[in-house]
Parts: sequence; structure tokens; C-alpha cells
Amino acid sequence: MGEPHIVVDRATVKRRRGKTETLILNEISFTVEKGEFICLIGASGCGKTTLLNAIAGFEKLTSGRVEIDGRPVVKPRIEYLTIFQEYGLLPWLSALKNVEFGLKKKGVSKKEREARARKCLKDVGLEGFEERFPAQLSGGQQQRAAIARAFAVNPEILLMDEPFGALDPITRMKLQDDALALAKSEKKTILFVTHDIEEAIYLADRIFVLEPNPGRIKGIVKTSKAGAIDRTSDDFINARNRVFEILGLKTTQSDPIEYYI
Amino acid sequence: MRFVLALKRPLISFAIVVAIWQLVATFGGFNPALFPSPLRVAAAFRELATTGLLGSSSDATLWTHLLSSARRFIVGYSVSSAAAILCGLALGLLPRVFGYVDPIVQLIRPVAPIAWTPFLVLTLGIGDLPAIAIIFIAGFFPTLLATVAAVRNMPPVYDKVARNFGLNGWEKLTQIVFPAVFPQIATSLRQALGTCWIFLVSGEMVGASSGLGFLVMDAKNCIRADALLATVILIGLIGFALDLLVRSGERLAIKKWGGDLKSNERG
Repeated sequence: MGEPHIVVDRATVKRRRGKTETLILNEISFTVEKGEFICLIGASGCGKTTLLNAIAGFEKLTSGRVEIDGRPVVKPRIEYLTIFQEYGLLPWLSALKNVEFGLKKKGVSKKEREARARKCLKDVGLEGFEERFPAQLSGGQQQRAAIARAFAVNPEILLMDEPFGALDPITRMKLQDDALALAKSEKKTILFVTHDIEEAIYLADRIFVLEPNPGRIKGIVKTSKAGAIDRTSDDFINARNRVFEILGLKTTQSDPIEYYI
Repeated sequence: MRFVLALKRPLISFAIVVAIWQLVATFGGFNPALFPSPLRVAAAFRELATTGLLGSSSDATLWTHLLSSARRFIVGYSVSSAAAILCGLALGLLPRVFGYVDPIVQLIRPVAPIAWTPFLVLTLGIGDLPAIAIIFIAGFFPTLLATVAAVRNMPPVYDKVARNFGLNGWEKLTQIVFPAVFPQIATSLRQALGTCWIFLVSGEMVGASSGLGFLVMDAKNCIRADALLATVILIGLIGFALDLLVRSGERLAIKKWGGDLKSNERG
């Protein structure tokens, strides 16, 4: 392993509301390697979105630092794109124009822009939907378009904030597969916030389990990723048990349930 | 075809109103000089359109007056809308500054625009300017406040998208903020159009020596109820046409720029 790609060092965020000061993130430290898929998991209010926003440059740290490739993060950059739960598509632009949006800012010529946008939409399975407006797409299709828009500008890091949180379970699993395939084929580093434990195990190389009040990392679970993980395999169950243990949701005594047959 | 269909119901309603009016005029026993029949009003309309009001101080025809009013209306409405949107966008993005501006707006806004007329006539004289200034006051504040509210209620995710893709201030304003808030502004622009037309006529009744508002006063001074009603009806019809025009314009804009087709389709 070379230089760590992302360094988070004693990241602390305090928020003042009137006279009370709440500690949202308390001295969180970790590093992420290039190409890793990290899931941040935890109950609501544990600061996982704040942490993601701090890495994205949306949120200022009270103390500590975030560095990407040795450079401190001071503001959002097109190299580290966030994908939002509410998609963040621009409703007055067609799917195609939405995907072209980021390319336009990068100064790509009009012709190339369109070609690339069409390819990216095709990659996420939205061929034939180029001229539709976001309101004419389903939730899953909108999130696919948002992912296409992110991949179009070829960012190094994707920060995904509960991207599939608003989707139905079947669409969700399909998008998980596609996100995983894209992440591997494009070799992106991904930080993915979720509160779905199974989603985290299915997607992540490592799972950071966060705990609230104040937000901190309580434990890290490494999943064995020899190829795609089967949702019913022993590895999957083991990883799930580990997460449950860290979250304190698992009783450590022997099985208290008795069976009467 | 669609336009003709849209006019079917209004035309039937108007015909019924005119018929009742004719019946009241024929059988009501009113003095025809004070309560003229539709036919008399139509004759007065012809007189206004061809020779101008007989016995008036001005020999301008209805069309000359209409043109003066239209000119003032277009200038006043467009200047006031443009100023309101620009100020609204700026103040919406600078909430701290708005904190200082808002009290002033709330102080001026409850004053009926027409209350400014005497002051405006004193400072600006008789002519185009008082009427234009009144339209400006009438149209400015509602659009300003609607724009500020729309900018402040803009979903925060748009702002994040703009920052994430590295847009500068101007790009953010033109490519994100303006299109995001436009549907809400459009509603207030349409309302302002009606309001401005109302206040144009009021403004001209005092501050001008031409225009449809002036013609109303002129007809009153000549004790010509028929000419008065002819002018009033024309004012109403133009207001009606303006609203139709804006509605179809809005529909076109929505077709072109998409967005949420269902929630934007009104009336």
C-alpha cells in the first residue's frame, strides 16, 4: 500500500445553538486507500452525513484536518463528487443536459459533451431516456441519472449520502449491484453513508460503524471480498454479526430461545 | 383551435351579461343618459374610436389614448419586474442585507400605490412619469418578496450541486438559482401584470392628460356615461386579454423548460 488516498485526522465538528454547544464529531481519524469502498453506518444523529460533508468540503471542521492526496480539503471540488439521497438533478434540464452539466463546466466541447453524456447514461441503463425530464423519471432512474452525471466528469472520489435511501428494496438491490460493478470497473474510491446494515456489508470493503453523542467511530468491520459477496453466505452472516456486536444489538449470552417441538 | 375553445365559455358569459344589461336598460326606466344601453355604449365606442370624445379638451381618439396607456404599461411593468427580480435574487442570496431591507419594504408595501399619486404629480409633473412610477410601485414589491422567498426556499441540494461542480457566483445565479426559482416568480409576475394594469388606470386618472384612465375622467367631466362605460369595458377586455396571453406564455415556457409539468399546470 502506498500513500493513503484520504486522511481524516482528529476531525472534530462542534455546533453552537444559542448557549449550548454540541459535539457532532469527536476526533475522528482514519485513512482510506485508493479504490476502496467504505461504508459509514450508524444510527441517525451519529454524524455520518456531517463526516461525509466534511470530506466533500461542504462542512468546515472545528478542529482536525481532512486531506486528499496530501492536499487539505478547504472547499468542494469537482474531483470529489457527492451523490445525494434527493438526487440533486436539475428539474429544468433533460436527463442528457443534466449529465452534460458537469462537463460544460469542465470546458468539454459541445459535441464531445453530448457523446460522453449519452455513453454515461447508457452505462447506467438509461438509454432511450435522454430527453426525459427528472419529473418524468422514476426515483431509481433519477438516481441512475445522478450517478451518470457524477461518472461523466470522472471524479476520483464519490461521496454517496444515503443514495438509495428513498428507493424500494428491489430497485435498491439492482442499483447496489450496478454501483458495485461501476465502482470496480472504474476503480473509484467510494465513501457511502447508509443506515442499512446489509447494504453496507454487500457493498463495502470496510465498514465504519459510528456511534452518536458525540459522533465517533466505534469499530471497523472488514468484509472478505473474494469476488461478489453472496447475501446468504457465511461471510455475509459473520460480517453482519460483527456489526451487530459493535452496535450492541447482539446478546453475548448463549441463545436464550428455547424450542418446543 | 385550442384558443377558440378557450374563448367559448367567456364569450357565452359575456353575451348573457350584455343581454341582461339590455333588458334592464329597456325596461328599468332609467335615464338613458346616466344608464345607457349596450347599443348606446357601442355607438359611444365608435365615436371615441373615430373622432374622439366630442366636447373634450383633447381631440385624441381612443387609439391614441390606448397607445399612451400601452406604452406606459410596457415600460412600467417591464422595468418594475426586472428590477424586482434582480433585487430579489440578490437579497435572497444575501439574507443579512435582506434583514435590513425587509423593514423598509414592509413599511412601504401597505401604502396603496395610488396614495403616492399626488406626491408623484408634484415631483414628476403631469405626463407619463407618475403613471409609470405608480405601476412600478404596484408591481415591484410583490415580485420582489416572491423572488426573495423563492430563493430562500430553494432546496439546499441545488446549492451543494453548484458548489460541488465548481460554479462561480454568476454561473450559479444564471444556471442554478434563476431557473430553480423561476416557476415561483412566474406566478407573481402574472399577478403583478393584472395589478399593474389596475394601477395604470388609477394613475392616469390623476397624473396624466392622455391614456385610458384620463379618458375615464374626461368622459365623467363631459357627463358622458356611455363613453365612460365604453372605456371601462375596453380596460376590462384588455386586462382579460393580458391574462390569457400570460397563461399561454407560461404554458409555452413550461413546455420548453420541462420541470414538474403537473404542479406547474394551473387553471
